[in-house]
Parts: sequence; C-alpha cells; structure tokens
Amino acid sequence: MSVATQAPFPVSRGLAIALAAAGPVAVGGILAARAHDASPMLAAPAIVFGVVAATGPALYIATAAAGNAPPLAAVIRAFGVALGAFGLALAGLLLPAAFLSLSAVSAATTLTATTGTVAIAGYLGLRRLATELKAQSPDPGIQPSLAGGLVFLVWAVATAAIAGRLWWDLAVEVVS
Amino acid sequence: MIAAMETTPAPAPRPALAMIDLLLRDREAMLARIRRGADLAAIMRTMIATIAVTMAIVGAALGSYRGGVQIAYAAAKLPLVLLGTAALSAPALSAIGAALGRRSRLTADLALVMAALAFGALLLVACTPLIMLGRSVDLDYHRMILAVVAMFAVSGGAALRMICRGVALEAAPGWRTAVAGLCVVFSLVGGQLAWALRPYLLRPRAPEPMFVRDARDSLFDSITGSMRSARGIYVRDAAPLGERGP
Amino acid sequence: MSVASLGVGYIALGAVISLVIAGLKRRMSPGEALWIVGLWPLYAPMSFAHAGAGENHREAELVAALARAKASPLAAVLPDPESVRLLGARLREACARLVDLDEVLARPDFDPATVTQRATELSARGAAAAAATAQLRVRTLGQLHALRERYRRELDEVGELIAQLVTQAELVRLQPAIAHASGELVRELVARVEGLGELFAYQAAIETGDSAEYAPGAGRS
Repeated sequence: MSVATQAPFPVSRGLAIALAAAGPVAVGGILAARAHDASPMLAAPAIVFGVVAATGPALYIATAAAGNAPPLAAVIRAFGVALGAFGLALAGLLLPAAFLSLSAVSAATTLTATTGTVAIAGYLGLRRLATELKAQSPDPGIQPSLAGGLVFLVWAVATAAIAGRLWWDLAVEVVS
Repeated sequence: MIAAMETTPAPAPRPALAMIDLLLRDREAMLARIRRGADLAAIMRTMIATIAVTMAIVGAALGSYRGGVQIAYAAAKLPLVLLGTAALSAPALSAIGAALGRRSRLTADLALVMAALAFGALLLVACTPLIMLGRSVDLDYHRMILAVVAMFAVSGGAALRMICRGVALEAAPGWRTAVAGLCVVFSLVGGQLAWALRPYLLRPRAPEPMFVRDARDSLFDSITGSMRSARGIYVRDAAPLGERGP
Repeated sequence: MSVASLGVGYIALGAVISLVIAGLKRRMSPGEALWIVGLWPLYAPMSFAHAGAGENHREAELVAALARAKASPLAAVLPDPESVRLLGARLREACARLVDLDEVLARPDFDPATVTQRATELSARGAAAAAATAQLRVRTLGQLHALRERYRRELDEVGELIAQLVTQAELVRLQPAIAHASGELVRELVARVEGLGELFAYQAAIETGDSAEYAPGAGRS
C-alpha cells in the first residue's frame, strides 16, 4: 500500500500542521528564555513558513520542467504533509532541546541544541517531502528520473541553506 | 462458536511481579502484549516502579565504593537520572517515526521504551555482585569506573536490542531512523543529566561526600572547554587544584 | 538555569497538565495525579488515551475513511451522514466498553484463578453456599473475559475493513468500473459496526446475571 492511501500521520493533519506552527515558536521560546528577548518566538515560525512559501513554487516549476512533476494539488498536499512531519518531529525533540539548552551554562550549548533540533526536524520534513512527491509522481513504480532527483536535491540544499542561514543569524544575534 | 466462548478464558493481566518475570523470561510475549495495546498503563506503572527500585539498588552498590552517606545519595540519584532521561527522550521515538510515516501509537512506544529500560536496569542489578566484588578486592578507582561503564554498556545494548526488536516487528517506514534518533537524544540528555547529578562512584579518599557537585558547567561546556584547551585556548590562568589521586 | 530549578519547572508543568487531564476526565485518583505530575511526558499520553471524551482512533479512522471514499466513485454506495454519525457513536461506545473491561479485569479480585482458588478453599471448609457463589463468579468472569476477547476481535476486524475501504477508494478512483463491486465491502463494514449492538446486549445480559449465551446475527461467526 503506498503512502498515499493512508492517512499521513497517526494524529490529525490539522494537529500536525498546528505543531509545525507552534514548534518553531517553542524553539524560539528556548532562545528567548536564554536571551530574555521574545523576538525569536516570532522570527522562527516566520523563517519556516516564509522560506517554504518563497522556495516551494520553484520546486514545482523545476520538477515540472524536468518532466517529473505530480499534479499541482498533489504537490501542495505533499508540502502540507512535510510541514506536518516537521511539526511532529519538533514536538518530540522539544523537551530534550529545552533541557539541554536551559541546563547549559554557555551560550554555545544553547545554540547547538536549538540549531540541531531545528536541523533534524527540517531534515525529516525534507525526507518526508521527497517520499510524498515520489508517491504522488505520475509513474511511482518506475525508477525516478535522474533529472528529477537532482532538481529536488538542489532545491532541498538551497532551501535548507537559506533557512539555516536565517536561523543562525537570528540565534547568534539573540544569544550572544 | 458458542462452545469456544465457554472454554478457558484468557488469563487476566498478571500482577506486577509476574509482569517483570515475563519481561525477563519471554520478551517476545511482552512485546506482543505491548503491540496489542493491552494494559499499557499497567505495564508503564510496573516498568517505572521496576526502574526506580533496580536503579536504587545499583546506585547503592556504586555508592558503597565510598560507603557511608554516599550509598544513600547514589541510590537516590540514579533512578532520577534514568527516569528523567526516559521522560525527556522517549517521545522522540514516536515523533521521528511519525514524521517519516511510521504509524504507531505514542502510548505503545512509551511502554516499549520503558519496558526495554526496565530490562536493562534488571540486567544492571544482576551485575551488582560484580560491583561489590570490585569493592571487596579494593579494585582501584579508574578500573572500577571502566568496569561500571562496561556493565552499563552491556545493559544499554540489551535495552536497545529490545527496542529495535519491538519497532522492527511493524516493518514500518523510518523505524531505523526513529530508533537512531532516540539513541542520539537519549545519549545527549542522559549524559547531561548524569553529569549534572554526579558523583555516584566516589573514590574512598575523596573529601566529604556531597549530594551533587557545584554546577560550574554542563557536560557539553566541559567537552568544548577541553577541546579549546587541547588547542591551547585557555580561559583561566590555572586549573583549580584537584583532590589527591588514590 | 540549575537542574534543581528546571526540576521545579518540570513539576509545575506536570501539575498543570494533571489539572487539565482531571478536567477532561472529570475524575482522577490521587495516585494517577501523582504519576502525571512526576512523569507527565510518559504518563500523560496514557491518561489522554483514556480521557479523549467522545474521541478514539477507531471512530476517527471510520469517519476519515468514509470521507475519503465520499470523494471517490464509491460515494454512491456509502451510508448517509446520519447513519455515519450513528455508526461512529456505536464504534466509540464499543471502544469505550473495551477500555472499561480492560480496567475492570485488571483488578486482582477479578482474576479467575484467584476466585477459583477461593471457591476451592470455601468448599474444603464446608461452606457450600459460599463456594457455589464463588463458582458462579468464576463463570461470570469467564464470560467477561470471553466478551473482552470478542470486543477485541470485532474491533480488529472493523479496523481491517476500514483500512480495506481506504485502499478500495483509491483503487476505484483509478478504475471507476469496479465501484459497484465495492458495495459489498461497505455493506460488510456497516453490518460489522451495527453488529456491535449485539455485544452490548450480551454484556447487559451478563451484568444482570442472565445466563443467556452470546448468539450473533445470521451469517456472522
């Protein structure tokens, strides 16, 4: 049974998306608690959703041009599932990140813990996006094309780098 | 069908000791119970109580190396370390798996992790005679530390194996990544919590035992500090004078 | 922040979560509250699993599956919204009863082996009437255990039918021609859920001491 014939998460999709919104707020809250500055709580979700909104259309255009794109509705659904996966992963990693950050003495540990949490959740979200797009592709049984895979890889690296840079600049500015 | 209804009924959920015995003798059956979702709350309570008692015994054994009040200190702290680490880390298994498409219930995963940790803790209790032996032959402090690390490694490996077995049974997508993620999170959180609540095995010639050391730094701060020192970057003129070696 | 102050924060959060769950469940024992306060990341999900008022995963699965099927050519053979609501309520009731049975049969005094031993002891002491009552209790416990297994089997079968419905809905989307043949699956699912009512009646009979035996509707084992 392909991923597409099952509900994507053991929780409702709405809850998963809500976690994707609340998760970055909570991670920003860890930074805020450390730095006594509430701005990361607003900036973190803005980075997540802003970067996805800015780079998402580019992925669809590029994969369509490579001849491997699922229908637009399926791509939007895949992004929704990926965001939900990101939120779920953040929900599970939040407690350890909070403990490691708040029990640390130096700012470097806080930076590492929060950045690592967001990075791992982001990686899982991207991985889930790849799985969903593959499942939704026009011919899922056929080996995906090299061009399509390359397009996704380049897009993923670029998106992760943009989001990562924005996050790092925010975190360093707030914590140092 | 009606005759089948009248045959010997399925046994009622076993009391706590029988559940622990099942964990030791037949882990496949325990995994099957957890997968079925039967009595998860009762399993959870039993496993938590098992961890609390067994780690207290192990802590007392470690504290006996120094003796005196250190026995009580270590007996109180070790259960906090393992239960605290489990509480903070266990949800990561479900969360990472769910993100990758693994369909499981959080309650079953938590029960699985606690059952596995309880199994590891029981193995550690089985190792306490070795700790007592080390004390009785006056094994030196550093060898004792290495021996304890080896015991914890064996027990931890057994617990991890049980988790892998329980999760692999579903053959769900992303289970390996979920287990790997749990290991990483558990190691980081457990390392930090254990560091914060040290000492446990205090050398006999150490000064007056204390419940916890003054928190000058976290584990990771200490590691990064050591890495900086190794590169010749120092933040103070001299290290504080340590206690005399054994 | 020291570990001690983090610990205080952890306990405080546990207390808040305990109050929330107590509000949802409307009744909570002090012991359960302590468990939640001390180990809320581990124990709170257990309590939430029992406290979900009106929600459980089977009902949610059924509703979601029917919603997906409604968007496919299977829509013509699906029950109407009111029937779906009634089916969901029945499934929710069955799941709640299974949870209750699990809790009740977990009690030490509901262990058939313990009660059998008690009956034997009473009989050996010459307390024939008390022994007969104990034997009756053994029989009743046997019926309750069998009932619990029956609930589990029926709910597992319903779960598999729901999963099959979801798969069938996707297949029908690709091959609309087979939609008509999928009607049997929907009828089977509806019949299974409606058949849970017979289990409710049987449970009521046990609880009132009626010794009538379980007799499901024709065509179902």
